Amino acid sequence: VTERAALADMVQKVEPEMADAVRSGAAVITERPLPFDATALRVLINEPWGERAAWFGVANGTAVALSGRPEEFVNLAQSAGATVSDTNGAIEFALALLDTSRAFDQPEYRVDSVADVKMRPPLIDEERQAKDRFLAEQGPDIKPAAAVGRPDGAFDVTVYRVRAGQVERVLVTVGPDGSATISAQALEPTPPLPVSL
Amino acid sequence: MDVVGTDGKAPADSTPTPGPAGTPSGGGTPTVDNAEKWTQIQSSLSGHPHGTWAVSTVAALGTTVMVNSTAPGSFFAPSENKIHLNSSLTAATAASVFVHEAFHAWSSRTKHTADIQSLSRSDYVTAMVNEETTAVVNQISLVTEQGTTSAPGDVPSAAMYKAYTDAWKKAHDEATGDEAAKKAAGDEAGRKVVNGWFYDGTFVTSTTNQPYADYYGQSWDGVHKPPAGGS
Repeated sequence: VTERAALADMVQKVEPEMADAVRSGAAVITERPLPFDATALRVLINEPWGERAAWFGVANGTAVALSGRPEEFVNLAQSAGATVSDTNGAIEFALALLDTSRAFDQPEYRVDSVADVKMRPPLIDEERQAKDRFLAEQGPDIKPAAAVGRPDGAFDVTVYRVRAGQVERVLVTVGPDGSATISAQALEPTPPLPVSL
Repeated sequence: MDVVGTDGKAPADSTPTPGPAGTPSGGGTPTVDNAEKWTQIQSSLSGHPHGTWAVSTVAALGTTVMVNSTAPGSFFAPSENKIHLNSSLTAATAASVFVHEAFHAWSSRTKHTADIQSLSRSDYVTAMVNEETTAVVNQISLVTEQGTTSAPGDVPSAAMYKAYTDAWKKAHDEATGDEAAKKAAGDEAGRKVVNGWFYDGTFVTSTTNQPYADYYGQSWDGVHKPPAGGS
């Protein structure tokens, strides 16, 4: 209870709409370790017409809202003195960044192969054709996250994900000091994917 | 309002005031948190029956519309009687989402939404999916009234709109009776298509990627069969 109250007080300052549910125990809280001295917490609230969720980063008794705010993840990492020195560390950092900056307004998840892409039933012929073409042309390219070092000491991490009705190839460039930039390219054609209301 | 889809467009649903009797009257303008953005949203709704129904109903219900909400997602919050439209949405997308959430507000405030305490699991899931279905059909009807073939935000997407339209036209054209009967047949067929999307994985929750029917069943389980150790 004490921990919830403390967390609720922290959440109150950055996402007041969710603080009461944290305080009352109505929210489901899931912890995700981070590759530096901070913790990410997912707060999930069951509402009558669907769930709401958001990620928060917690360090030194302060919470920051991470969902939809990748720059806040970088600030949190650099404040915690994060360092990235090899490809495995870069992948770990990039995945933590992508996981905790998702906004929860549309389905979003990482994929390691085309089998991980959850499609919906095609509604019209054009969607059936798009699905077949996607599987044939893009399917073999979808692989687990991989990183390569750059001459400047940073790392380019390639990750595949489903986000907002598209399958994306995401390039996360991770600096040795915990800096990071994200760019995403949608794979074509777009297969039929579920949407959220 | 388009009544018959003979020009290739989906017809608007026949009842701009959805649901059983009890819709509050009064109209006017709802209380909003940002007048400038609300004006932009309203411009996508005015002159269209499903848009004006949503605006006047929300105003009559006393529901506040947060058009610049920073809360995650867009939703109707019954405890505070507010519709939250996330600030990241364009005005056109927010208008479509508003029509959806207005129906939830109406269902909640007029006590037409399903009672999770008293209904069986099956009846609760069916009732909630039916409510969602009407909310989406209202969005589809708005698209028709706007003279377009998809909504920004993709509910409905162009493919969804075509699937709805095709089902509507087929049922309409094959039905017997007067035009009202044929239109009712079209509405029922279109609605059946939309209803199926809540079960087959077309519509999923944005948090856990579950079909809505599964989500509502899980919600019922949470109330009637709390997990061990839960409160």
